[in-house]
Amino acid sequence: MPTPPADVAHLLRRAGFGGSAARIAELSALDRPALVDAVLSTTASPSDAAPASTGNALIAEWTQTQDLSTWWLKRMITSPTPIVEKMTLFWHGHFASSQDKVNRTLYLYRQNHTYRVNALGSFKYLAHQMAIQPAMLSYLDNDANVKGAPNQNFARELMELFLLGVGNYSEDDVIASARAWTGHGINDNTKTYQFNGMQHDYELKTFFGTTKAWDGPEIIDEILTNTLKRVIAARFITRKLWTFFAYANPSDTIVNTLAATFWTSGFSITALLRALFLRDEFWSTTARQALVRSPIEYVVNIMRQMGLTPEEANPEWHLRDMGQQLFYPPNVSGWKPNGYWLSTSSASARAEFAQRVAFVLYGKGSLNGLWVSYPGFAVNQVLDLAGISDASANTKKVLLDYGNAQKARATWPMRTGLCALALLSPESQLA
Amino acid sequence: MLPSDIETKAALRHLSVPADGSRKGLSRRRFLQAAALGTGGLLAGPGLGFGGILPGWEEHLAAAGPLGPADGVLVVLLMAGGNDALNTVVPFGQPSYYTKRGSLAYQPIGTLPLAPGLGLNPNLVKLEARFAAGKVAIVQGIGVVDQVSFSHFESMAAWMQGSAGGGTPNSGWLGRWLDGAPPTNPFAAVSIDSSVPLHLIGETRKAIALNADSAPFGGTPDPGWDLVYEAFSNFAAQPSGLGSWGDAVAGTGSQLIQTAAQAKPLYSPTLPAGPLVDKLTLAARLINADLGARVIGVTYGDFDSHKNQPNMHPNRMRELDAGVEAFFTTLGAGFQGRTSMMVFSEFGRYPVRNDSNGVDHGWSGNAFVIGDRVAGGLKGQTLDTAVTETNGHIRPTMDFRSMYASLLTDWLAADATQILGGSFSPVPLFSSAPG
Repeated sequence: MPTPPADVAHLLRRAGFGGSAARIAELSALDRPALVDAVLSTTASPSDAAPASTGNALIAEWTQTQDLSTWWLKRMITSPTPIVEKMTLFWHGHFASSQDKVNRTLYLYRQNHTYRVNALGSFKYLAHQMAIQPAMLSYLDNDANVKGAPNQNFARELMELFLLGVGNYSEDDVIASARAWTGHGINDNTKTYQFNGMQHDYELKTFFGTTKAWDGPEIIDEILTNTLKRVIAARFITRKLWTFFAYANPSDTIVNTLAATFWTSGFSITALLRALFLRDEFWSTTARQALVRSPIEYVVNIMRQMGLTPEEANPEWHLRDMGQQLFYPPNVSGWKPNGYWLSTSSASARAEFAQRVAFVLYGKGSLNGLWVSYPGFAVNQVLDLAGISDASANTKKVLLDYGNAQKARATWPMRTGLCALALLSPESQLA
Repeated sequence: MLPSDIETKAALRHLSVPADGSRKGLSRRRFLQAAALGTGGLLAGPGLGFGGILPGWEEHLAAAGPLGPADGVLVVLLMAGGNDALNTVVPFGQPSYYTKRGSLAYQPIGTLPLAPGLGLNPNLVKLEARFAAGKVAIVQGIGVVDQVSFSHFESMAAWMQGSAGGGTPNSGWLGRWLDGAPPTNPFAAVSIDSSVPLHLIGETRKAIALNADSAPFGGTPDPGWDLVYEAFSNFAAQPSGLGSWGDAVAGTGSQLIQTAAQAKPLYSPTLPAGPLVDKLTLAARLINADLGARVIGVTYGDFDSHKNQPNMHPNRMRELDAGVEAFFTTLGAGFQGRTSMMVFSEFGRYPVRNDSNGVDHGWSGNAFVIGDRVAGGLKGQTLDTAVTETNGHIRPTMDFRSMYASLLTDWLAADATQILGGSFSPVPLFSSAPG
């Protein structure tokens, strides 16, 4: 049974960065399970060789990070497997590291590559890889966590923010875990992960009630295999993914059922996402109206829809003021949804970006076809251009009132004005 | 005062919302619905609901503008990441400070005099001068007394929430103050940032945000774009039909357009550069403009000095000193007696230096309250590095809500017991009421 185009559009917005009319029509032929499988397929994901400047000591770190950010935005805009980039963005907010502290673009690139190649793979493997990525070792100071003088930063966040959530471990567990992670650091010459046995605490520690000579990676294994803890971990990740893809505050039934799928699959991220997207609640009106686009989602959707490159639209001039910069999560807990993005100053930055896009499109002649002598017609054209197939009566009225008022004064600003307004409509700002 | 006929039209549209009964009743009901729907995540408090209704236009027109002669203004500055209290207010009289801090400890000779055995960080030169002039209260040993976790997240959430009760907090103490403030002025609470932190989010209202980097969109009516600004605002004139977040998005845009014109002059001349000087200069200009700002939030960091503290913490102290000085020198004479600044951090740092030449998360901290009407001096008990819990932490000797109680009662003339959800013995912080 084919899938209604509005449903396909909903899935493509959530599991990616929106779909073109052609892509929506193409996928509408599939039934829901086949559609979900098609969207989750990663086989066409392009390789992700680093930008030329990454790790080049002759180029300033700031420039390197800008290049890397543009490189990633381009992938989001052009990738044939947007779910991979969407999940890479999710992991960037989950296992967060910021260039503010790491100050080494090469590490952030490698971490980004690791998010990407494991984006829909094994969560267990991803967690192990994250712990020993130099970006994380540096960001959470485990490179300075040594025998006799443990630094708890990573060990604490591993449980609080990455695997379990607050309240599911004791301070003693943090202390034991920090000791277990001693000696896992960075080789300053090769700039890669290195275990230094001289700095590792080989003594007995008691973690989750078991006393032995715990080593760091065993902590992750314990959390994800211990019959009590693995369920908590699975629910913790599931809840966060549901909030990212569907809506905040899911019921325990949804979380517990999906979490069971997650851990019984051996923590397969694809298995979890397939089950998530196949739940009826994901397709509900509640879910469809539940998420405000993050700034990255906002600019990528627009550039993807309008066929613009980052070099043309310069989103990097506006993203910081919108409140989200790639490679600069605000802190180790990453970004939050919805209300987190709503402030007058972030609205201002979105408006400035929408205005810029309108002028760039105007400059390219893309708005020449808008029939501004007939505002009613031009409104429909601009909504199509913006990929808004289901504009509310209110949005249409606002655009039409504007068109009529503008026509009464002068038609020349109407092309850019209508375009910016379409990009600022609630439809454009919701995910 | 209306800057242009465009805004009159917008105002009329807002006023023409079909109302069954009084328009106030309508807006209140819509608001409560939105508040019930839109929660999620620590910082994702209730949405603005039926955007554009609140702050209501007619009320806004009636009441925006000057402060009352006895209205106190409170600027709240968060040193995010956990400021090292012991190296900010240095207990050089305590031998254990030197045993525990080792090479990170400040020698007495470098510090600025506060009291016998106690000195201020050498980089806080201007602040020390204000202290000497009796304009700075140092609230010592403050923190989340019942804290069970030393995470940034939990501690910050506790400080920002400012009330008892478990679960994910969805409102903050100044947000609840805002809920009870006259619902008339969009500038009543302002976050100088691109986002609004939890302490400025209430159950039904939240602060607006002004970014120090640039003036907001829509501030200068442009011959080609004024109709666009108006239309952008009008997305909120009716329910979006897209649920509460759709309404909230539209409401935020509308609020932006409403506030932008008034905020525009604050950005001229160009704000001075500096990681905190720019934000606090903007805050001072906002007060000087007399738009009715009562509470202003500024967040600043990073103070999380796990590693190589000497490369980091002194810079934060210098920046803090410069920022506070810029604020009070920019602040107009007529507002000096009505403005106080409170500076806090989610926790202090561990007494013992770690092997990365830094210090890990601690517990007890210090706060500053600065202003013309402040009863300057040392409040509370100095952190005692010799007396620690079994886990090595220094327990706070003062509940942070005691300070809040004073700020709310004596400076904002608010009901502290209601806002904080309990009674906390206030610390005397002010020599006289705002005026």
